[in-house]
Amino acid sequence: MLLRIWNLVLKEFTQLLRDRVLILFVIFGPVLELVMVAYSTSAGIAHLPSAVIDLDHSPQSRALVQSFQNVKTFDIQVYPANFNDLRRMIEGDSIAVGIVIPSGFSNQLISPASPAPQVQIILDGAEPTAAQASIDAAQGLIAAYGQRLSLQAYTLDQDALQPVETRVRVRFNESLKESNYTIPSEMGFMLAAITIMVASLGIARERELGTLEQLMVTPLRPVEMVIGKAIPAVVIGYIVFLLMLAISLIGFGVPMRGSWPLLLGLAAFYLFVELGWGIMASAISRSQLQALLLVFVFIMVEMVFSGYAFPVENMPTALQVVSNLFPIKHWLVVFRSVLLKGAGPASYWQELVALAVLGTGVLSLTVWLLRRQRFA
Amino acid sequence: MQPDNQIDLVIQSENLGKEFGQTQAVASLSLEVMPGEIFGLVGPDGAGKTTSMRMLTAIMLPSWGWAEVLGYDTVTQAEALKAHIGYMAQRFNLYRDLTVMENLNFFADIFEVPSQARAARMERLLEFARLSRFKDRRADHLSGGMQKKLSLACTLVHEPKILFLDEPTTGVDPVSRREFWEILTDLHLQGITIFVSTPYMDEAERCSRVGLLYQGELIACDRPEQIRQRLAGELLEIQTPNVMQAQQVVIDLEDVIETQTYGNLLHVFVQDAGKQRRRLSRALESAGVPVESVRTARPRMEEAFISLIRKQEQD
Repeated sequence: MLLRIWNLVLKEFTQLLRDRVLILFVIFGPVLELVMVAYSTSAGIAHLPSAVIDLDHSPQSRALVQSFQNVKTFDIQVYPANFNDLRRMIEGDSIAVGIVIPSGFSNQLISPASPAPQVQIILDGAEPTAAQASIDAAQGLIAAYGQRLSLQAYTLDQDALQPVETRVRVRFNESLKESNYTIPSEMGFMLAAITIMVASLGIARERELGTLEQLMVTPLRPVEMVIGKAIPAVVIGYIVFLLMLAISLIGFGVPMRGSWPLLLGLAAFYLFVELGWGIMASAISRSQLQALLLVFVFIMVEMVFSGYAFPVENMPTALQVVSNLFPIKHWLVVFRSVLLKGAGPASYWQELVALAVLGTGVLSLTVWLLRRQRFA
Repeated sequence: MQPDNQIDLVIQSENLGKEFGQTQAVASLSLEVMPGEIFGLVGPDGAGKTTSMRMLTAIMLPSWGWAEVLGYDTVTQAEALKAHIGYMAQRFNLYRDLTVMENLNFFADIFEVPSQARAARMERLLEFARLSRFKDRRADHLSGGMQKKLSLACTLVHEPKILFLDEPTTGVDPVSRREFWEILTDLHLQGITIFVSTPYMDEAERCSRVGLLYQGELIACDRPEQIRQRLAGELLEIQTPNVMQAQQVVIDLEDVIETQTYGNLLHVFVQDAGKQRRRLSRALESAGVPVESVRTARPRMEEAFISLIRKQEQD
């Protein structure tokens, strides 16, 4: 049995190595995508052209302006005389952020009896990412001024100023690096997509070309077929994983705080689970195209449930239950825990159990499907 | 049937049938094939040849009935059976992106052919299939005939006791077809039982026994000469430019058993060819149908089958 699996794996690799385009697509596609996402998020948002109207002209207000200047996010370029000038600048796109310090700012700051002093920040609502980054940065530096100072954010909309609801985001990474969140998610997602795609081609290809019929008259059993097809997909996925990990750690400074053997072992384990769905799609499809389309739909849904775009905890209960069928949801918890928090299995054993159950279930079902259909 | 006789039979099936949804592909197949036979399964397209073959090779579950091949039940002992049979599907079923040698080696690996026996066996197979010169050529760069021979070589790599060949020569040029049958004859002489399906009647003539499958049913199963003898009467072959009209005239004549058309030939089966020959020519001439020649001919499998199928349809 082991010998037959091994021989099937060897044959798969001989064929794969002959398919140069597939290799390029499978290995460099995800790596390129990761580099692009990592590069654009890790650079962050900086040097936004900013304008300041200081109506207070006090040492306190100048100190506040200085602290805006000291943050990389803002680049204070002009000091408009009045509000109308500021508005024209923002409308004309020459300025992205306007900071208004009202008169009486220093008095309110000093005397405890007066109402809390406020600083206004006026943003270009057409650039939500830049706007959000400005609010985050402004909130950070205003917090340094103590509890009494509050920030009022507005976007310039038509003629009126629209207040912006400011929220404080809780993050795991203390350096507030967006990329430490995005890169592991992107890695998980690209890895899942590529492994599932490679896995989905395996059996469907044999069926499409008729070789499955030939294999069925050999002593090769459905279990052996499933394992023999899974191994090459895992190996390819693993190569992609290592490449992406190296790029993330070396190129983009993502920290690796956990145990290396643990991470490397868990990644291989996860890949086996993830590709289960791909192999199942392969086992029930008539052609490679059909398998790919099936898998494509699966990947799109998996992206939603990965928690990459929006948190799974905010979804309706029914969807949260369904989300457990998608290995990536569990894996991202494990992966981030090992990578960013250096956590051991004790803190994510539930996810590991879920992955184990999912993997066993899906692969067994695939073997059963193959055995049952024999030749349909 | 005594139990010890059953072991001697290579294939035995009873009431074997398969339906796909509402369509019945094979109604009832009851067969007995002896060791060393070349058994030909003959029938028009869609008669159920491939389905029958897939059930016998244990890759398709029958809807009813049972079959034993080499004493193994095709349903319950499928895995054990597969080590002893060779199957060549109608479509080219090998890896096109692998070379001749890689294909052979892969199947040898899967069948776990011991390595000491392998080298010599590979050489012999390549020689036998006339592929020695093309060892390192990729399968998709072989001609259709060579692909068929490679398929055959791959099905022989584990030295099966019985070979199942599903229309092995369909779509192959006449020279390759002849060559392929020469190879089959060699195998037959080595004592391998061959179960082959074909739509070609000339190939059916080369079999030791022939089963005619029509609309999922075996309507005849006998030696080729026996099947030919089932034809009632003798055969007159009339050559005429107007076959249709000639058929109209002849069909109503007394003592004419059956007529069949082949291009510009009209085959007429009559009780006594000697007597009827003259009568037919006269009848045709008086009806204004030009007759180029009339001769007595030896009935072929083809006539026999058409006649059998027709009888089946009339019943």
